[in-house]
Amino acid sequence: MKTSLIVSGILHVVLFAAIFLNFATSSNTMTPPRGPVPVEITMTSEITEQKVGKADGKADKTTPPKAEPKKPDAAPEPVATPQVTPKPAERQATAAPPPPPPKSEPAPEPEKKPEPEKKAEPEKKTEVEKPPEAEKKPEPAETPPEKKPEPPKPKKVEEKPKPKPKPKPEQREFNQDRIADILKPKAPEQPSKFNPNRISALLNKDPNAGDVAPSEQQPKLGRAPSSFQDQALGSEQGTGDKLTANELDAFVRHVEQFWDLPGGLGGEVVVVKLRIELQPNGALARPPQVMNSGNSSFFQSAAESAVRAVQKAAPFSFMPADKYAEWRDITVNFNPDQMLR
Amino acid sequence: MIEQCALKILRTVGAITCLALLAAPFVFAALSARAVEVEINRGNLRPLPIAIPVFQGGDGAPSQLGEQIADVVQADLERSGLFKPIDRGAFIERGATIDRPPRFNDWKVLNAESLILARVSQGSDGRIRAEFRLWDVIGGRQLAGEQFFTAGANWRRVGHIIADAIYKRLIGEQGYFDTRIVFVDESGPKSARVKNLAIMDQDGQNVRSLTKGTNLVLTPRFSPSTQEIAYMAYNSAGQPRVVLRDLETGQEQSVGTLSGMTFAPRFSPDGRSIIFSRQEEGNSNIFLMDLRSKQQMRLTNTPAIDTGPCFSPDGQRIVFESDRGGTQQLYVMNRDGSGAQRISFGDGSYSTPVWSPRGDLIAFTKQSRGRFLIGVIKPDGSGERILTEGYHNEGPTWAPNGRVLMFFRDLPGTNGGPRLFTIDLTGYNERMVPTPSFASDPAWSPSIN
Repeated sequence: MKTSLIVSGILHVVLFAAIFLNFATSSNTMTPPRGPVPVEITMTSEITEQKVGKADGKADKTTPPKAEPKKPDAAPEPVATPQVTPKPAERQATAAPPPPPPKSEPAPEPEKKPEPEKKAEPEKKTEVEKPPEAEKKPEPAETPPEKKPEPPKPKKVEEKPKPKPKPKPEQREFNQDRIADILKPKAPEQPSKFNPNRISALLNKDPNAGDVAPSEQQPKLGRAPSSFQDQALGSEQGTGDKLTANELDAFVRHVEQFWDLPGGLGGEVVVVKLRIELQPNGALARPPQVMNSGNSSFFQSAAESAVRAVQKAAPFSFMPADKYAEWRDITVNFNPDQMLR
Repeated sequence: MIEQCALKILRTVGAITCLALLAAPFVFAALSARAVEVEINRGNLRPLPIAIPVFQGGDGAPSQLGEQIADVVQADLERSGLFKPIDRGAFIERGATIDRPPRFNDWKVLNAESLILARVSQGSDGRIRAEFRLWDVIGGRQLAGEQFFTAGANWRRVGHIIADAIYKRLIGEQGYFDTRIVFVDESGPKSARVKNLAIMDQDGQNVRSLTKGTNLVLTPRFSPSTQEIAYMAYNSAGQPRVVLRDLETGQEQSVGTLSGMTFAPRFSPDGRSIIFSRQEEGNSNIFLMDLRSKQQMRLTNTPAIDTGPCFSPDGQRIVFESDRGGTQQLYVMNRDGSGAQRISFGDGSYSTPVWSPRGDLIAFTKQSRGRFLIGVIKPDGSGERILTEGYHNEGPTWAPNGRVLMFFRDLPGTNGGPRLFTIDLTGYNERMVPTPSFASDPAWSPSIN
C-alpha cells in the first residue's frame, strides 16, 4: 500500500511536471518551421501616398529634444511646427518673429524655447570671428635654407625588421597589406566613387572583417529573429490567425530596404525600439512611436532614421488581411549590430 | 503518517494542476495578444537625399547672395559623402519659402528626405541676417530652425554654419565645415620653391598668407583655442626651431632656449604646454614645455630617434614615432613618459601619428615597399586600416569630429608638387582640396565654437 501509494505519487508528480514543462516551453518557444523565405516587395511608389498629417504629439518622442545650443530659432517656428499640416497654406504664418509660444501642441521641439538668448549668441559668434589675418611680423630675412625638411628625421631603416616581439606577437600575423588591398579604394582618383555600402567595412572595428561589407547587390539576409519566431505559432495551432515566419520575414525585408543609417551612426550600435500601429489596409494608424531611449549622441539620428524607414515603407498592404489582429500592433527593434560589426 | 503526507502532497499538486489547466486558456490569450515583435538588422548606408533650394532674399525672392550661400551649404554637405543633394532643376515646388511649411509631397516624389528652406537678407549696414529651417520631408515636420547675424564679409561662413547645423541634426555628430586649415603654401618652380604659411577655410576658400616666404616653414599645428599655431621655421643657419605664432596679432616666439634643434611641435589638449622633440647628439628625444614657465620636461631618453609626439585628446597619453626597435614604429606612453608600448607591427615604417579628436583612432603615414599610405590604428595597436595610398602621401590631420582626414600628396613630374586631399574613414570619399598653388602640411583647426 505504502509503496504503491508512493510510487503512484511520484508518477503523478512526474506526469504533472512533464505537463507543466511542456506547457511552459510551448508557450515560449512556439517556433514555426522556417522554410525558404519568399521576398515580397511592395511598390515603393506606395510610400508617396503616406499621409504625413495626423501626427499626434507622440511622434515627437522620437526626437528627444536635445536642445541644440546655437538655436536662435527663428521666430516663425511656430507656424512651421505643424508637424502635420496637410495644408500649408492655411497655416501660413507670417514670418513675423513673434516667437510663438510653445503651442499646447505636445510638440516638444524644445529648440524653440531657447530662442531669446540664442539670438544673441550666434551673433557674437560670427562677429567675433575675425579672420586671423596677422601679417605683421614678416619673418626676419634669413636665407631660407631650402633643405630637407625635418633633417633629424630618421634614416629609414627598413631592412632590419627587428621584430621586437615583446608586445602581442600575434599581431604580426595580421597581414595588413592584404587588408589594405581590400580596403583601399580602387581608384582614389575618382572620389565620386563613393560606395556607401563600404562604410560598414570602415566603421568596422575588425580589420579582418573589412571585406565582409555587404555589397550593393547582395540580397539582404533578413533573418527572422528569435523573438518573432516565438510569435509565429499560428500555423502549428491550425488556428490560422497567427503570422507565419514567412509573413514576418516579408515585413522585415520590406522595412530593411528603407532603413538608411545616417553616416553609419558613427559606428555605434544604437538600438531603437519602435511601436508601429497599423490600419487594416496596412497604412500607419499613427506615426511610429519610439519606445526606448539612449545615451548615445547618435540616438536621435538613429531613432529618426528608424521612424523614416517605417514611414517610407508604409503602407504594408501585403500583410495578410485575415490576420490583421496579429499585425495591427507591431514592435520593431532596429539593431544595426550586424552591419557594423 | 507517511500516507497522509503523500496524500496532502497529491492534493496540493492536484489543486495546482487544476488551477493551471483552468488558467491555461487565459494565459494563451494573453500570449497571443502580445504585440508581435521583430528585429531589423540590416539597413543601408546611402547618402541622405537632401534638397537645398536657392535661399530667398529679404524680399522673398531668390537672391544672388542666397544662391551663393546655398551653394556653400550644398558643397559642404556633398563633400562629406554623407549627403546627396538633389538637382535643383528637378524641383517641383518653386516658391517654397521659409514662412510656411513646404508641400511635402512635391519633395517626396523627388525622393528628398530633408529640405532646407532659408532666407538671407542684408541690411543697409551690410550685415547679413540668415535664417533657415530644416524639414523632414517624410515625417512632414520641422527638425531645426535657426538664425544668424554676421558681417557681410562673412557670408561664406554663414553657409558653413548652416551646413554644420544640418550635419549635426541629421548625422548626430558635430559638423566640421566652419573650420580652417593652416598649411604651407608652395609657389615657384621646384628648384626654387617659396614656402609660406597660409590659412584658409576648410573648403579651400578665403586663402590668406601668414608669412612672407623668407624662411622655410613646416608643420604648422593649431592650439586648441584656434588662436595660436606652432610650427617649425629654419633659421639662416639651417637649424629648425619651433615657433609659436598668435594668429590674431602675428606675434611670434621661439620655443626652447637650449642649443640644439627643436621640431615636430604640437599643443597639449589644454593648450598650456607644447610637446616637441629636440635633437641631442644624433638622437632626438621628446620634451614637454610649459608655455608659461617655459620649463621643459624630458619625456624620453633613449639613444634612438623619438619624434612626432601627439597627445590623446584627454591628455593622458602620448603617441610618438621611434626607431628604437630598428624601424620607425608607433609607440604610446603615459603623459609623464612612462610605460611606452609599441603599437604598430606591420612591415614598413610608420610616422606622423595623430590622435583623433574622438580618441578612438590614431592616424599615421606608413611607408612600405615604396608606397606611401595613410591609415588609422586603434590606440591599443589593433584594427590597423589603410585609407589611401599614393606617391608620397604624408601628414594626416583630423577634422574636429574625427571622421575626416586631410593630408598632402606629392604629385610626381617636373611640374608636380604637393596638393591637399581629404579622405573620410570609409577610405572611399577622397577629394582634392582646391588651393591657389601647391600646398603641403595641412593642419585642421579645432571647431571654432
